[in-house]
Amino acid sequence: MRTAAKLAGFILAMIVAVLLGFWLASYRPAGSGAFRFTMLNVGQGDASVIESPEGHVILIDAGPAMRDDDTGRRIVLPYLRRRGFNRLDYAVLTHWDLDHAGGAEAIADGIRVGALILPRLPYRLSHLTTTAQRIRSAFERQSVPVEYLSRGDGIALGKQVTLQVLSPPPPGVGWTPTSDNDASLVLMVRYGSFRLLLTGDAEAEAEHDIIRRGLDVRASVLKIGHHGSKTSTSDRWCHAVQPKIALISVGKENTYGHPSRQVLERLQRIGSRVLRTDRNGAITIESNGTSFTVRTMLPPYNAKPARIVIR
Amino acid sequence: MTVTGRLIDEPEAHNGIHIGTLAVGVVDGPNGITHRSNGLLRIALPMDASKQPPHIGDMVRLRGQIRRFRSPTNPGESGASALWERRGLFARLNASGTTAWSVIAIPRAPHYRLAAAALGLRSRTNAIFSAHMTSDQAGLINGLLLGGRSDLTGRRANELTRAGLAHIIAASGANIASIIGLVLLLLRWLRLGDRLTASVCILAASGYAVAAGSQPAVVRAAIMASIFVAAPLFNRCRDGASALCVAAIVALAIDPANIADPGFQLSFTIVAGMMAFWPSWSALLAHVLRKDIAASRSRRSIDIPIRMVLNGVALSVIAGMTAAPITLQIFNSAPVYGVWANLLVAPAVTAIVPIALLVLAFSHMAPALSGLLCHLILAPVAAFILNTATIFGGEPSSTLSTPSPSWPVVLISYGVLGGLAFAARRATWPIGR
Ligand SMILES: [Zn+2]
Repeated sequence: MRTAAKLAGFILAMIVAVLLGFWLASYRPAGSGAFRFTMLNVGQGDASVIESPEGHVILIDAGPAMRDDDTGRRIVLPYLRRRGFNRLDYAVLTHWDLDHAGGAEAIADGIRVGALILPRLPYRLSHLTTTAQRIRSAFERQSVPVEYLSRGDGIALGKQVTLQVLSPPPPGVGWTPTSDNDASLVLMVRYGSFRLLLTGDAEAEAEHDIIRRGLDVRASVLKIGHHGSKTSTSDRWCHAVQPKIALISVGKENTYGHPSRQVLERLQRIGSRVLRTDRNGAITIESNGTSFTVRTMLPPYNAKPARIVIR
Repeated sequence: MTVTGRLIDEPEAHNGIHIGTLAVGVVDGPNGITHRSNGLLRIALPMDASKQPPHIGDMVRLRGQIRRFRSPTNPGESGASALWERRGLFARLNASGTTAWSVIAIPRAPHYRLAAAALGLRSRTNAIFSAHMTSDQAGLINGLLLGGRSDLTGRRANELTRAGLAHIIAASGANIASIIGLVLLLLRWLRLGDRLTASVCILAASGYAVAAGSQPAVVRAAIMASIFVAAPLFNRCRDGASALCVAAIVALAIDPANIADPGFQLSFTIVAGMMAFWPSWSALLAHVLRKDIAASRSRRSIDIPIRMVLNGVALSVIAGMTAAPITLQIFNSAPVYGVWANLLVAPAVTAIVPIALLVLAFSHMAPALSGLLCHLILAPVAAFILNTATIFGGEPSSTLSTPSPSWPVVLISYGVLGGLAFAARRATWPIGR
């Protein structure tokens, strides 16, 4: 019987070795110690990931899914895997347009999600398309709780990173958005003195409403609304935000003519450096709270990141 | 530009487009001048209901735009460019419309006919299994038998991967071993000579390799099996390590680009792992079973099934262990429940290949019997494997994300595994002698 015990020991040792190997391979210290924002190149659409210094992760939009190309599956999930994440604290869909929400079905199916965050919509816009319903039920299948946010709400990502909702306004209070785009979640992300403004597909009306409310929108980095469409990023908005870096998520040779020449000129006038996913690939911003670095998958910052001090 | 060439692989139909690889023969220049040329291009042909779909070996003429492969623009994105460049492909030619391409001749060269016949065989076997079970079950059985996931739906294949069971639908040495085992059994019963037996075994192994689409892992296994079977005829002893080396040399001689191919790397490391760990394992197993049998004679009847189950388990544990460093580096993810899913499924997988072969053998002679085997054994076992995959791979949390281990870490892991194998060998050396 001693050899039977030896046999069992042998099998057990092998299994333990396999499990130990997986565990060691997946082990990573909680958080990389820096704030990190990555805008992925998903073509004509949006998908970005925020990582807090303590290792919290939040996905802002999940990229488009066309009939033959689901960027949620092809780009977003592999990115999260590469970064070693097994869980998203939150998945945010700024609005239901398929260039932002299409890939979310693959996300619901591919990684654990703490909560799904959606804009609180006015009654007029609250009817969901069948595709949107299908995406939402993919999250319901995994028992992911849904939270609806509007101006005044916020998300804390650990102790140091906060996301403040600037738009849409709560239904029935002041201005009411009339389009899905204008009802996009607009989020101000703060880490130390670093500020990042995410705009979804919000257009000029939403921008004006935010400015009219007297909210502080100054930010080092601005994600340009609606892929650089001329209906967003008004002159007033540019002057109010004063971004050092402007990020545009846009598809190569897209049929919409995004980003528009007017928007690029406005940004040039206020001296913002424009980076766009169609030319620069994925863009990563890392901050320690007082300065930040910019890296891109393709030139110019692929070999050596640029360091920028905040004010 | 307009090019004419031969399709060297079976085009995949994907969302209204046939995508395949073309060996270019002629390029049309300006003013109607044609130039002989050679090189490989990926081609995309829009589907046309009025045309026969293109197949491997077909001579195709197409007009369109040539483009470089996109290189990855996101961290973690698997770049099509790197994958294809390893195989000597640098560009893709998209036919500019359904009228911009035509099949101008069908294959005559024997190896294309062979490949086409293998594809035909595959769809025939799938049809035989499908007659008695659901398409998912039939797809799984066909995958177990001939390798590949082409007969499975994307969701099922995905679940198998996430449950750590993807290897069961990769045709490889296990299948070759089953087939040679069956052939040997049959020939012993017929009392044929050694030489004839060996030749039939080699034929069966090569036939299977062709039927399974000549994937690198199968070709490797067929070469090794042939060397093993033939060795005694030349008064040589059977040495696994040298057989493996010969197989590697042959595979690299056929296509040196193989060395960068993950499938090739995995196939060889796993087999090397088997060779390192198997002797200690079987020594232990033989010793324990012999002891138990000596203790009670009645246990002999269950000796074979026990051996099969335990061997299946050991096989998947060793394979998982030796493959891990490479798979982690490529896929950045590991199946959390892989060990348990494999423990459950391994015995079923071992049993299924011989029975599937029986079903195919009887499908013409005794269709009722083959139907019965399908209903009684194949369908339930396939359902069991598929459901196990759903249980262990259906949840988002069933994969663990792992940052890519760097090459030094991969090498160190193999060093550790080698040490482990050595220790196991030393611990079990006296036993079973
Ligand atoms: Zn959009």
